[in-house]
Amino acid sequence: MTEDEILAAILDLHQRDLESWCARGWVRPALDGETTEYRAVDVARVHLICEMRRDLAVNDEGIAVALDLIDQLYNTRARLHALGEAILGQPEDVRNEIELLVRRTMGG
Amino acid sequence: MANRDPYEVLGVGKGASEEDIRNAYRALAKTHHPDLNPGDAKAEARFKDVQGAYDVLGEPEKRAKFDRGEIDASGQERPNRQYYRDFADGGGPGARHYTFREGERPQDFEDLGDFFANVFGDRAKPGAPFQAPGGDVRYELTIEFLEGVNGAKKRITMPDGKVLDISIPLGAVDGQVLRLRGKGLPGFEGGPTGDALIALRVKPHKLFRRDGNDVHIDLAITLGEAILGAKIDVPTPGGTVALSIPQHSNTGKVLRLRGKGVPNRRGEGHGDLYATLRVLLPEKPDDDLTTFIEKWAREHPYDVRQAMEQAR
Repeated sequence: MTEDEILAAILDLHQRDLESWCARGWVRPALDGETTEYRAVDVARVHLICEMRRDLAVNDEGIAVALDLIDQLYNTRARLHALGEAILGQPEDVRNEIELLVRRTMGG
Repeated sequence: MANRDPYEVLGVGKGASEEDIRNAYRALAKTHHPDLNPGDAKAEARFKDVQGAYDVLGEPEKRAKFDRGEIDASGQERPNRQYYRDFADGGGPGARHYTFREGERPQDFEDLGDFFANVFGDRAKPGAPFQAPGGDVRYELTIEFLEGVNGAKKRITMPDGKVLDISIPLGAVDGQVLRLRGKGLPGFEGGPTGDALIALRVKPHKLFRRDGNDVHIDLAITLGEAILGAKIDVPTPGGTVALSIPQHSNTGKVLRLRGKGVPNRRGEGHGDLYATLRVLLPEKPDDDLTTFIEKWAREHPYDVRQAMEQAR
């Protein structure tokens, strides 16, 4: 999507806001010379920011904090996901061993 | 879709005020927003229910219709859309440049053990090199009015002596920020370089004023051109253009030159140029004109201040 297209697709999205979010690094569309391409993931992130502002009544400073935490959350989930996949690929006795260790660590 | 009573969904009574409803909606949206609940598959359905209920109760008119039984609780169907978590969760490639710092991928870790050991992010082990991306640097670049309209290539030298080539896009506006990736401060210990952010300041022009994609100009014409009509040359951002002034054109008349304003950012479709006419008398009094007008004015009085009198 170009900037014009995303502005047309999302109601209550103003060019000035979108440009300031890009300047703050909240949204990072693909830039290629003079053209700006908003990929599906960028559009979804713009939706999220709009909803935080309008529906959740979070102010700009709150959004900066929330986005940072959200990015960390997904980073951590990606690592856990990779770890989980790796464990699932192990033989059963190894998996059981890991499960036991995890339960003990978590006090379960 | 099973449409539950929207009052029940938002947990408010029939007599709730608009503010109660808004507060209830915000609290529930915060709790159930799918992007804030990546591990909960049902969050999306709950969030949609809450949004649907608010669609009905959030607008006093719709709420009144619902209360009178004129509409049901279905509200307005929201189109299915992809949430941010659809890209970001599970380390999908889509959101990698948001959730992972640039270059931070499992295959880039010297030891895969580091990746697993650091499930909780890059809290580096004591003594381990601290990697971080470089900061962004911000500049202001002042450009001429016509460079903003027609686009331009600019070269700036940064404080550290590095030279940056910048393309000003067509139709650039005052305050617009251009991001030059990787032109900021160097990263720490191999972290990615930050970006350069260039805020544009557009200088005013002696003739042209911009209003979005349209350009306005004041155009002086002689008394003769105003009364008899004429074809005159008009400067536009794209070069001189011939403009026909119709007979009997007054001060304040606005003539439009279609497509002679600011080119569209994508190079297609232009704004228009609006020329506001100003009739100017000759600089020095002219005897012939004065003699003629003395007679003419006596025989042809006309009232130009009637509207002003009425407005008092």
